Formats: sequence, structure tokens, C-alpha cells
Amino acid sequence: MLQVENLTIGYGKTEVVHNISFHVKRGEIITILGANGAGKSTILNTIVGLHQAKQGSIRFQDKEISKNRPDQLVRRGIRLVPEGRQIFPQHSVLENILLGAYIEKNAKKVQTRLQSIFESFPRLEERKNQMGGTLSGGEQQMLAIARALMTDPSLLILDEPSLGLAPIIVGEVFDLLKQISSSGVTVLLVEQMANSALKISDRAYVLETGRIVLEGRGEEIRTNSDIAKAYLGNV
Amino acid sequence: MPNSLIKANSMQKKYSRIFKMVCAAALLISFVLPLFAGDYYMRLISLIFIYIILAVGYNISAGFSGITSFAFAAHYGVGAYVSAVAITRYNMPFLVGLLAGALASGLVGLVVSLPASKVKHHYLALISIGLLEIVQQILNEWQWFTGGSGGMYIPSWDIFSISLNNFQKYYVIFIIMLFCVVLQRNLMKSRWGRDLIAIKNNEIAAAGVGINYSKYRIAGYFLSSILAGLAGSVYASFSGYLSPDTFNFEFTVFILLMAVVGGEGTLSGPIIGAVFVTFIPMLFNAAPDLKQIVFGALLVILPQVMPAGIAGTIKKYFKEIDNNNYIVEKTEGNEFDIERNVIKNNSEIEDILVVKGLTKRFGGVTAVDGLDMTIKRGTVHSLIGPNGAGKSTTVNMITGIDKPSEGSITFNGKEITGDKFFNLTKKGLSRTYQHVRLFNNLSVVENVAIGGRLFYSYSIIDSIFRTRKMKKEERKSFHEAMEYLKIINLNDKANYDPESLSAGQQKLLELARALYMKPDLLVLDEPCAGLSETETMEFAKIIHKIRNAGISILMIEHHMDLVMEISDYITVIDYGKKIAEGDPASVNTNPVVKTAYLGEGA
Amino acid sequence: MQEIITALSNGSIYALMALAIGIIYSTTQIINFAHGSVIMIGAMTSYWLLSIFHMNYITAIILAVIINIVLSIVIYKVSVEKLGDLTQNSGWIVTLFGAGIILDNTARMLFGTEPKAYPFLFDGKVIPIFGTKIMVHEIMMILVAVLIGALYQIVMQKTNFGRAVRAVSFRPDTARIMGIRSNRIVLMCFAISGAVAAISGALIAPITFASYTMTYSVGIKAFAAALIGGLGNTRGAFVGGLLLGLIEEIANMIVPGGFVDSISFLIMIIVIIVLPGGILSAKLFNKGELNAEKI
Repeated sequence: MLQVENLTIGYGKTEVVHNISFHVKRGEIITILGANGAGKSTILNTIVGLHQAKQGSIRFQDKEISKNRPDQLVRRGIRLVPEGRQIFPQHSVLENILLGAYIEKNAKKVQTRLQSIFESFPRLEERKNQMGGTLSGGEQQMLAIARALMTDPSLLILDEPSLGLAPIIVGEVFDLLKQISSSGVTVLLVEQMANSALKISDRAYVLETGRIVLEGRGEEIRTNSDIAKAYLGNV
Repeated sequence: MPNSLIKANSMQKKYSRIFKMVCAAALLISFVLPLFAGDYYMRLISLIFIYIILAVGYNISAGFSGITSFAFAAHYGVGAYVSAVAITRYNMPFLVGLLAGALASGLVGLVVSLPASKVKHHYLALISIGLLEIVQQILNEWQWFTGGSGGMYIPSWDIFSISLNNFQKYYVIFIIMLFCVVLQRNLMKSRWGRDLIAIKNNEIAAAGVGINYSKYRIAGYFLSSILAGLAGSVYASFSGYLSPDTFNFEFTVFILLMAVVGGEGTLSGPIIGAVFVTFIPMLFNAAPDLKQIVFGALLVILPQVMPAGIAGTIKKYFKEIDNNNYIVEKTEGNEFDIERNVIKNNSEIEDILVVKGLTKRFGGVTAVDGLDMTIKRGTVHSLIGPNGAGKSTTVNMITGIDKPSEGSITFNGKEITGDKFFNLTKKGLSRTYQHVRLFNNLSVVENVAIGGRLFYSYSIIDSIFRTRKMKKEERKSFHEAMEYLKIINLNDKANYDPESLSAGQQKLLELARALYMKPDLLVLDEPCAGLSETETMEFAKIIHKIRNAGISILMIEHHMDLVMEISDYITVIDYGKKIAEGDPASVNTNPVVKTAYLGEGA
Repeated sequence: MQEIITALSNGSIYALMALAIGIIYSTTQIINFAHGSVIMIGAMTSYWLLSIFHMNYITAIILAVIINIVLSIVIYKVSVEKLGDLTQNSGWIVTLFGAGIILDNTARMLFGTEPKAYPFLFDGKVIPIFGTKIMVHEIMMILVAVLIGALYQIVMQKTNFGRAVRAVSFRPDTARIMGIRSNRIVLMCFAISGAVAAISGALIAPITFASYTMTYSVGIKAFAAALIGGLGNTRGAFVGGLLLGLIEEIANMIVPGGFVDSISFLIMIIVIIVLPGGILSAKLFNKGELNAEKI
């Protein structure tokens, strides 16, 4: 579904991501692991069109998308849940969700979609008139995901959904991702909570200073000691 | 910069040779011109000199202090009228009038720049439009003071009761102009100028080296309005007749254009700008209506296609070619060691930094929640935790960038909770940043030297006259800066732009700057993010050196190998709360820490 | 009584002008320094359509609005779009000012330097209220301003577009991954701002006479009103506009005519020194706490 080939990305003169390739198949949950500064967010931002790659190709459903704008990609069904959630704190919860459906001009569709979102996220319906900034971290993450689901995406990309969340909430978030995946959405995930993420992943890639150093099935990598090394060092 | 120490590369040498030749030629031509030129051209060139003074003033404001103002026509007008009134109505001598005009304009500048400490600088552009209108109205309406729209006459220009002829006027203006140009150069090439450039470049980093940026902005604007007033005073006596129409919007456009054409923030920009912009209108003698439209178009286009102006573009051209061959003369052989330069604080307090119950809330999210932490003198203390755990927020509160919602911070036995960032540097706290913050308009060595700005003692008068004291201190400061560059192995790149360095080198440069501030406590925010393996190893060695010199270090770092190797003590936080602390070995085996990093089931 | 009505009606138009400045400021954090010229162009084009082509009032204003929309879009394209990150690059201050200069002088060449008498709405008909005669035009000024202000507030709070504007002003990049084309939104805001400027220019021109100098005589007051009230805030614009109207009327009574504007600007400067964010500081778009996040 998504094919990334020989992707090189940089800011100004400095290269952050060097010549990486990976792919995501329809229906999979894929995790990209890596320590801070490894270039994970840069890759995701490039896929969704916020940043231009220096070299390489990104293909989505067999079409080249590396030159597309973010809004075109949203239309094609790629949605990003950004790092740190980035909800709009001074919009109400309902407005945040409606912003997620900005490109959908058909009011009826938006309403039905909203209904089903509220069914899966009853807590958000309870708080729909609250300001986004007043939600707890976990609720904000739910809001960010709900917002992305408003256009019924085929590929959902999440940038560190566990960031700053308590372990129980992290569990809830990953359960949710599993559910979303089983409803037919392909999920690409960047994480540092390796164990929790790998449990639900079909496959995973390990990124180190802008290069993919390891690739394999989720369980395989989870039991591979190199992962722990990448995070905790080999002391 | 002491020339003995660093030799420029061939291209820059060529540039400086050409530059010197052009300067000498310009001086010579200006000097002998009156002997050949007729009255018309002499007056024209005199006028250009006055515009140069004005452009220098505007350049200090817009180019160096980062305040774009539309009120310079007003400052110029205030200077002109005040000096004219002083001379004609109160029979003051010329020099007193000159001074009065400059000061009056400076005072007006001081008042309108007062909000600079509180508002973004584009507010000042708005205020300046208001000021321009006020001055326009006063010039037109206050008959008693200004003669109203009819204008005002200054019968003759007398200095020491000698009435000047055109020939003498030319040289007097020439001398005043030279004084202003030299003043600009001497100030900008001193610590004051570097501070101003630093603020314009990066406000936060400037505060980080202890610069109170709002005060500097106001001072910069004060100085530039004085210069504009000076230019106005000279103009008043030179022209002999003042009309309110001279100081209107059209003239504002003219001033802006001088800066845009010449190049804001360069020393020669005002001169180039004044010459060009005075001559451009001559092309439109046939179609004067078009002149303002073309001026407007230039204002729209130039900042987009040539943001550095003529002077800046030339400078860039010579800088960018062949930047690789600096030769550094050998300095005396004895090895520099950091210890010699550590300022021994007599404080015997063992706990250099004590944090109690530190809490920070952003909206509904608590980023840091009741954190307690104590850093012992002379140790490397690492603060680690997963992404989003609140490490950066903690460090931002300690260094005074964020205000804590609750809790207290005690540094060297003194409470510093809520202190301003730039005040903390004076108390012995310096830091580096997660995303490098260097001053890109200063050279590599100047970037380090600015760290030592607290140790200068020479005054603004010393810099204007480049006294021996000033030169001595500057030389010493740059020598020492070079020593710091040697520690990080960048001494052969002293004259480079920081932007030309690799990411790792930039991080090291930032470290050198922080070190030169001679801190008691050095705060490093992810010093190794983005560094290669070898660079990280280098970094570890330097950290060891620093610690051995007696400087305490607080470090946020994700690179666990490094943390385990160089830390004496580690605090682990998650969700803004401390979840573990201890020496590296105990933290590394702590299961709670593993869970925090890898998630459940590790 | 007459003074109060004048203060209210002029103040409403100042509010409208300040609102138009706020529309651009709230999305981009930049101040359109060419705004005074845009107002002037709105007044001048509608004057021409009215008096030379003898159109009726409504058609003339609609055409002027359209011209102003196109003009504002061109201003954005030519002087702002290429500058990149506007919070880093302050080149826009000079480029927008330059754009204003071009407009002013083009207008001077096209329309001449003579101030023109601009016809009042309803032929300057007056109706007696509370013993004074009040022009219908003045009532219309107040009504139109309040109507546009309310409409703008509703659009901002209740519609998809309004939500998007607020989103772009707060986090442009996050807005983009929602599928919002941030550039397009900014462009639309420039267009709306131009349209509002045309209406305010056409409504105030009968009182001030139509001339290319309206940029300075009237346009600058838009900035004063915006600053006094608080930038980028609808209520702030109205508070600032009405206060400015009031200040002017009071100043009219106590100082000679030539100094009235000076008093207004002096008060603006004092307000900024004392209350940097204006009387109603722009809370809606306050970015304060995010700055530390970027370090």
C-alpha cells in the first residue's frame, strides 16, 4: 500500500534521514522504532507532505505522492496523528473533531461519521463542548485519533501516540489501534514504547541515526536483545 | 579581532584589500571634490553626506537592533526644527543647536521605544506611523514654534561667529558624516554591537548569554534617533529653510529605500544606499510622478530578491567562495586548561542546585509534577526519561525561561525561582539548547567571545574612541575564545560562519560559548542529539574535562551509553514525576526505568 | 447629542477598519501596512463608479468590493507569499509599506489631487431624533458596521471556515494535516479584509471627502483603533474604534482642529505603553506559552 524507496531527507545542509526504504501492506500494523533524534518524525512528516524529501520516492497505492500537498494526501486517505497530539486547545472538542472533517463538504456524511465516532469515543461526546486544552493527556490523544478518523482514512499514521501518557492509558490507546486496524485501516506507527507497540504490530523497522538497521516481524524483534540496546545502551 | 591570531583566507584578503582601496578612493574623491565641482554638485554631495548620517541612524535601528520604524522622517524633522528654533529664536551657537536637535529627537525616540520591552517589534512600526503623523501635524499647525506650513528660515550658518560659505559647509558636513560612520563602525565592532547583532539574530540565545534584550533594543533605538536628529540639525543649518513637507511620508520611503538598497545590518550599507537612492530620482526627471511608484516597487521587490542589499550581497559573495583555508599562527605552546579559567565561587554550599516541589501546568496538562532534585557541586547529574516526560520543561524552569506554577529552585544557596533568564547567567548558570541556537551573523570565534561578555569592563566611550583599554580587553577576550575553540577543535574555523559547520560542530560551539561564561552550573539540553558516534565520544571526553575543572553539569540526554558512562548521578522522570534516582549502575538495573522506556512487559 | 452620534458613527467605521486589519493579523500575525491604501482605493473606485459612470450606490459598492478583493489578493501574492516564515522574516513590514506607496501614487495619478465630494447615502436625508437632526447616512454607518462585525463573529465561531481560520492562526502545520490549505485560508483572509476595507472606505468618504490622501487622513486611524482595542479581536476592534471616535469628538472640542489626530495617536501610544496588548488584549490568539516549547 505504501512504498518508500531510497528516501533521503534533510533540513538545510544537514541530512537527517539517509537513503531508507520500507513498505506497508494493506491491513498491516507497522511500527518504526528508534531513539530520539533518529529521524522518525521527519519521515512521517515527509510522508504526509509537510516536508519535502531531498531524494527518493514515496508511493501510495501505486501512485507517486512525494510531491503532493498535505490536503491532497488527506483526500487520498492518509491521515497523520502528530507527535504530542497537537489538538487545538482553544477549539471545543466538537470543533476539533469537525476540523478533522474539513475536506468533507457533505454535511450529511459528516454527521453520520460524527455519530459513529461518538459511539466509539463516548467520553468525547460527554465533553464535546469543553475546550480541547482542558482535556487530560489521554483524552487529548483519543481526540487526536478521533479527529483523524473523521475522513475514514485507509492509512492512519501515528507519531508516538504513547508520548507522555500513563501506562494504563497507553494500553488503552494500543487496544484502540488494534480495533481500528481490524476495521480495515492500515496503521503505521512510530514509537519508543517498543514492547507495547511490538505486541500489536505485524512487522517493525528499527531506525538508528537516520538509517534502518533492523527489520522483522513484531514478535521477532521484541525478543531481539538489540532493541533494548538501542534504548538503554549495552551497559 | 586581533589580526595576529587569525589570518583570513585568500578571498577574504582580496575582499579586504579591495574594500580598503575603495574606501581610500572614496575618501580622496570626497576630499578633493569641492576643488573641481561646481556649486550644484557640491551642494548635492553635501546633501548625500547628510543622508548618510541619517541612514547610519536608521541602520542602527533596523539593521542592528531589529526595529523597523517609519518615524525616521519625524526624528529628522524634530532634530531640524529644534536646532533651528534654538539657533534663530534663542540665538544659541550652532553646536548647542546641533546638540539640542539630536537630544530632542533622541528623547522622542526613547518615549516611543519604551513599549519595546513588552511588545513584538512590529508594534513599534505601527506606533512609528502614529508618531510620524503627530510630528507632521505639529510642524504644520504649531505656528509659534515652527512657522507652520509657510516654513522657517535660518539666515546663516555660523560656527564661532564665522559665517560659512558653501565650500566650508561641505567640509563641516563631511567631518560630521565621517564621525558618524566611524562611530557606527566602532560601536558595532565592539561588545555593544555584538550584543545588538546577537539579539537580532536569536533573542533567546542572547538572553542566554545574559543580554537584557529589551533594554538593548531601547538603547539602540535611542542612539539611532539621536543620529537622525543630528542629521536633521545639520540639514537645517545647511539648507537655511525648513518646510514641513520635507519630513513626510515620501521622505520615509526615501529613508527605507536607502537601507533596503544599501543593505540593512552592514556597515557600508548606509553609504551605498544614500548614494544610490539620491541618484535614482535623477533618472525620473522627465516623469516625476513615476518616482514614488518606482520607489514603492523597489521596497516591495528588493527585500524578496536581495534581502541583504548591495553591501550584504557583495560581502556574501566574497565570504562563500573558498572558505576552507584558514591558517592559524602558532600561539605559545603551553596547554590551555579549563581549570585555570574557572571562576572559583567562594560558596561552600555542597548542594549547588536544589529543586523542591517543582510543578508546571500547561492548560489541562501537568508537564512537571512536584519534582524534587538536588545537584551536588562538581558532579555530572543526568536527567533522563522517555519523550514527553517533562525534562525540557524542568530545565526551562531552572534556567528561568518558563515560570514554575509551583515549587522553588535554590541555586548556590539563593532562591532563584522566577528569576529572569538573563539575570541567572550573571549568577553562574549557563546552558545549551536542544535545537542549536547560535548567532549566525557573527563568526565562529565571535560566537564564543560573546559568552565572555560579562567580563568586559570597558565603557561605551572606550568603544567609540577605541581606547587602549578596549583594545586590550578585546584582544584578551578573543585570545581566550580561541583557546576554547581549541578545546573543541574548531580553532582553524574561527572566521567561518557558524552555519557552515556540521551539526555536531555547531553543538560543540554552543558548548564552548556556554563554557566561556564560566558558569558554576552548566545545563546541557540533549547535547548529543544528532551527533555521530565519534562525535559523541569526543563530547564525552570534553564533559570529563569540564567536570574535572570543577564545573557542575546538569544534562538531559537520550544517548544511554553516554549517560551511563559520564554521569555521577541520574534522576529518572516520567509523567513529570521522579520515578528513580541513584548512580548509573542502580538506575540501569531498576525495573521501573526499563518499563518507562520500553513499555509494559519488558 | 449630535457629537455622540458622530462619535458613534465614525467610531463604527474605525471599528470596521480595525476589524479588517485584525482579520489578517489573526491568521498570520502580520499587520497589513498597506491597509490604509486599500481603504482609500475602496473609497476612490466607488466614487468613480458613482459619479463618472452614474451607477447606483449598491452596484458601485459591490464593484468596489470586488476590485478590492482582487487588489488584496495581488498584494498578498506580490509582497508576502514569497517571504516564507513570517514570524522569522520581518521583511513584510517594508514590502507591505511599499505596496501601499505604489497604490497611493497610482491613485494620485489616476484620480488627481483634488478632494472630491462623495455623495451621502439617501442624498444626505436627515431625520429628527431627540430634538437633533441625524443623517440617515450616519445611522447606516453604525448599522452596517455592527452587521458586518456580527456576521464576522458568527462566521468565525460557527462555520467550517471560521474554525479553519482559528486553527491556522494557532498551529498552521497541524491545520495542514487536517487537509486545510493554510495558504489558501490566509489568501481568503486578505480578500475578506479587502472587501471590508472597501465598504468602510465608501461609508466614511462622504464625511472626509474622497482623495488619495485618505490613506493618511483616515487609513492610519484604522491602525490606531486596532492597537487601542487589541489586535486580532473582534470585540477589541469595536472597543478601539468607538473609543477612537469618542476621543476625536472630545479632542475636537478642546484643541484646535489641526491637532485632533495628534491627540488620537498620542493616546494610542500611551495605551500601548501602559497596556501593550490593547484594552482587550488579543486573548483568542495568544501564543504566549508555546514559545518555551520551541526551545
